[in-house]
Amino acid sequence: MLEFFSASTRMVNSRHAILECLEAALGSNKKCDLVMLHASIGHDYQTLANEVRRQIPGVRVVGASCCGIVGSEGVSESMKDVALMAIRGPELAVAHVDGINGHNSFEKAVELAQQLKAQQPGITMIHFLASGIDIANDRAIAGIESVFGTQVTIFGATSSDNMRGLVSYQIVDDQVFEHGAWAVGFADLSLEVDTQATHGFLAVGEPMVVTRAEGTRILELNGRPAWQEYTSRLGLDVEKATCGDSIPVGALAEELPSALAEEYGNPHILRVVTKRDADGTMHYATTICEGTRLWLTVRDEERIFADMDRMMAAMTERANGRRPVAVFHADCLARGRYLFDRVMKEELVGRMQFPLSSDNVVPPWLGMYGFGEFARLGGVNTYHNYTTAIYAVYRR
Amino acid sequence: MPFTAVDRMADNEEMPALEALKQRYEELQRRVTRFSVVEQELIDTRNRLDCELGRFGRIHAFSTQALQATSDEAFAILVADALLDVFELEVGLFWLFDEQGHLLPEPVASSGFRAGHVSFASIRSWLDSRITVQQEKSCFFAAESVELQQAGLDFTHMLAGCCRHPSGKPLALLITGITKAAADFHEALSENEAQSFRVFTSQVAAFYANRASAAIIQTQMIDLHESEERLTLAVKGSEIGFWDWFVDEGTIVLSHEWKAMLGYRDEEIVDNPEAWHSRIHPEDMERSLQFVADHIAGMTETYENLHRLRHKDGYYVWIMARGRALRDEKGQARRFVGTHLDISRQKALEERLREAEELQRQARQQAESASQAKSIFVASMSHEIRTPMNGVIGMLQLLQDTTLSPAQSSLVTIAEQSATALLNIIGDILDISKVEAGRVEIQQKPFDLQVLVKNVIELMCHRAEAKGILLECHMPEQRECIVLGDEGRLRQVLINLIGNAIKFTDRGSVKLLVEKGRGTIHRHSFSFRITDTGIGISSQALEHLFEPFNQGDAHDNGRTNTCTNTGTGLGLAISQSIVRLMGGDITVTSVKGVGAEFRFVLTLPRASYSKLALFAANDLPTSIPERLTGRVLVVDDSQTSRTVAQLMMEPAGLTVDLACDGMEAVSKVKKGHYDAILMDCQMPGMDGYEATRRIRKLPGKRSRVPIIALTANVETGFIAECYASGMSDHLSKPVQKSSLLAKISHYLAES
Repeated sequence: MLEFFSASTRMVNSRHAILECLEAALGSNKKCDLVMLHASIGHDYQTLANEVRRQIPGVRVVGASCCGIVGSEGVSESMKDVALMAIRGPELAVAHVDGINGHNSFEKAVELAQQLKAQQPGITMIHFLASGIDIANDRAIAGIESVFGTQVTIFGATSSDNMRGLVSYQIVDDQVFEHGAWAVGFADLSLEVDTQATHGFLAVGEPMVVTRAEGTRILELNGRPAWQEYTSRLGLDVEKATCGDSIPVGALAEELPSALAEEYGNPHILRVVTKRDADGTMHYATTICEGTRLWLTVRDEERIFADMDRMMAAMTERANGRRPVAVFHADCLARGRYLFDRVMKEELVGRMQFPLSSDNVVPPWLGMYGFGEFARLGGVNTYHNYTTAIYAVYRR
Repeated sequence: MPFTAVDRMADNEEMPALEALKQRYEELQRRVTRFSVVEQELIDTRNRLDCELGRFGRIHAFSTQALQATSDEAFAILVADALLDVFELEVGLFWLFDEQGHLLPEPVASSGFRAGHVSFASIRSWLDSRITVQQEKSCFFAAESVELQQAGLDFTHMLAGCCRHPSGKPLALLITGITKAAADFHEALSENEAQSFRVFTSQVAAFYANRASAAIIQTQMIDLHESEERLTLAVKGSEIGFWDWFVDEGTIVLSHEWKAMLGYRDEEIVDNPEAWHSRIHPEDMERSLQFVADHIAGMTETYENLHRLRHKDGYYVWIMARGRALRDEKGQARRFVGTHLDISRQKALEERLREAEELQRQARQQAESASQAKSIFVASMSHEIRTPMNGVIGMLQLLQDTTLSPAQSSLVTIAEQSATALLNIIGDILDISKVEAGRVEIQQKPFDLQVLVKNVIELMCHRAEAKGILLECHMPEQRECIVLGDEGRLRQVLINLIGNAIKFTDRGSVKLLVEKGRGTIHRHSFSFRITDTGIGISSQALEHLFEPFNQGDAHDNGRTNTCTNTGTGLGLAISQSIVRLMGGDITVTSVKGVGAEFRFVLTLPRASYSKLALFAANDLPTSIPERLTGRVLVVDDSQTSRTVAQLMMEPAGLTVDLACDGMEAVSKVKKGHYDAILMDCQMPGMDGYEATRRIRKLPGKRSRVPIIALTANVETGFIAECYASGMSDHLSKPVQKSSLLAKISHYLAES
């Protein structure tokens, strides 16, 4: 039976940060089987990985770079944040692949899933994490489902930098990858995970139409080079603007079927552009077809809060009085300090943690600000952007 | 586009309504998007404000931690880490200045630096110069900074702040910045945002300066504590009692040790001057009070008082008190502080030492008396033996002059040799006695070493021939062998060593090799080697060879210091002592059954032929005329000695008159004429010395008659006394007929 322990800190020294987190999470008994960690881009990831394994020889380590972290201790978006979840128990499987990108996401995901299944055939839920830059997340989901079936719950996030869209890192044991993906399979049958995502953005204006696309690349919008049309609509300088400029204001919305829109609380699902090429090609987070209509969006603060409350109410209702044994949490980096001031951000995090807490004690919690989030929508594993995605693990 | 423009377009009646509506919609859409961008700018601005507030919050957090930093090293690391934590740039440095105001070679703490980052050396000199230029300002270098670009450093952005002491002296440099490698991930601070950096710098400066002060105080406290500990330990270890007398108040503090040395527990004596006063020994009271009064009055620089205090058990303890008064600006004693040291044990030891010294002195005196008695005994014995031996040897010599059969002559020769051997034994005993008493004197007279060696070889060759062995001498002809030294003693040594060599060699040869060594302008150096092919000396015996009376190899029938057949066994010990007195040392090597070699080196002062000639002129002629004429008075209390002298001289033609003591001699000299007097020294009644003095006082020629001492005392002191009393020369008993006649002949010729 798996047990979960979490801790987070903001600390300049990478080794000391790991040491402090492990001590806070595990106390004097550091024995555990897996450490999942997220750390912001100012840390040295190799040092982090080495220190975990130095402190707990033989432990498996998976991790990701991110723009900030959320733990049971609260939220932080500095350059020196670390959060981790230590897991004890044998019902785990860890797999990883390297060189995953927008063209091979399915194949790499299949390989990953097969590794997991070889270790633990009884996996019921999978925490998936891949590079947030240049990947077809929908294909990755399909690849995993091709091995485990659509009933397996896939949750997780894509790694990020601090919204520069330049690089992101993935840690597996003592290795650090730039285009890797890892997955943790949970085979503890006493556990189940409830996932949901929400964004609270509003699509405005006339949509842009994808007039030319290849896989995850959007080459043209409305018949013009994609980046030119996109930045023009955003009022940004086409030459000078970066993804860092466009991400906070340029969430693209795809229309959802009405059934899903009701569950989602919003008629649109959002997508982020994490990278653009010199020729104006934009890297989309999922496969996109020509003819797809993409709306620009505006953020509605009230709706963001209202939708968060609505999501948490739904999750609480589904929990049926149970308290989670652990919560994984993926948040879009555009929803952090680039969207809210500190007070509002903490308020928002409070609104997601409070309903899942017991006697004001937040359960073990590992959250990160990344490029994307995985959560089921309409009973289907789905990739999201610009959302807060909560993955509450319950004992059945 | 502003609203007025939109309105103008809407009012254009020529534009179709739908198109106008579309344009307005698009414009509205742009406005909405534009609104999002502006809203984002507002959010970013708010975020910057949040960040700035956050920085001040973290500076506050740093301050709390900095106060708790336990060491300078921990403080430095804390500062370097805080630079990253507060300003969220890539690297942080805490770099100290030396006493001359230059940066140390490397920062004391760094944070965020990874392998391959900039070398500290490359930026040190540049920073040094920048700090000088910027004085008390913080330095802000943005990516586009000309200074930063010209410096060729790897930084795209840098903030440097100098922490200064309130006096202006630079203490440390704080640097935070972004290198080119990480420039994309870090947000550079604007110059406006650098305000928090200035605050941080001044905060660190204050902390660092305080730490230095605190460190000084801490060091002083530790030193003080250690000093106190040392003092306490020293006091306990040395059992010194303290007293601290507050003169004005009349109170005193007496330490635990002060009371304990008088046998009291702390509570048994009240801290009061009376505690001291009442315990002073009556005999020491007046002096002690006077010492105290003198010092309080400023008449003595320090107070020192050896006095006795009464112990709880009634006896008195010797106390050495030392102290010094603390005076006010007028010289008035306010406090009088000092120590008490129980020196009863030292006193007892001193007493015992004094007793021991007295015993030692008495023992030394006894030893000296014994030694003197021994010397007197030995000298007396020598005298007493020599006197009858004079008769024996003299008679034997006279007997040889008569007609004897060969067998009788051989018997007389043996008797004479035995008597001579007995004299040698007496001579050795006398010498060793002098050696032990340190009374051997080395004369410094010129002599020709070559002649000496030649004489010794001539003397010893008869012995060698008698044993059928070869005696060889190798001494290269030297032009300058005139040296200053004790010819007689050196002869004694050579005769002893060669004599021993002959004695212990039955086959082969004995060699004397004399080589001239490297001398100086004032001194000749000679090495002497005496080798033989005799029985040799065992290594065991070698160790004790020069010890008197050593039996050495006697038991294994080897060569010994003590000959079991002849001699006293003192020869080598005497020879070694003589050579050492001459500045040399006899060493010996030997292989048992093969032979032995004795070596020594002497460095003797050079002497000239003229000096040698001067001394030689005083020597007696070696040739004696066949017939002598003159009157000789023989004065001796021994009938035998008188007879021997008479029988030796009369056949030579001399007229001999006899006197049996000094008184008779003086009387005879007054009455008659003598050409020479042979005067014994020790005689009952008037001795020879007194008789000589009286004769010398006689009027006319009588007082100038040559008086030759004839004494059995051969020691220098006795001979000197002879000359002091006025005697002209001396002869030792037993006297050789040839010597006697030569001496008489010399003085008759003079007269």
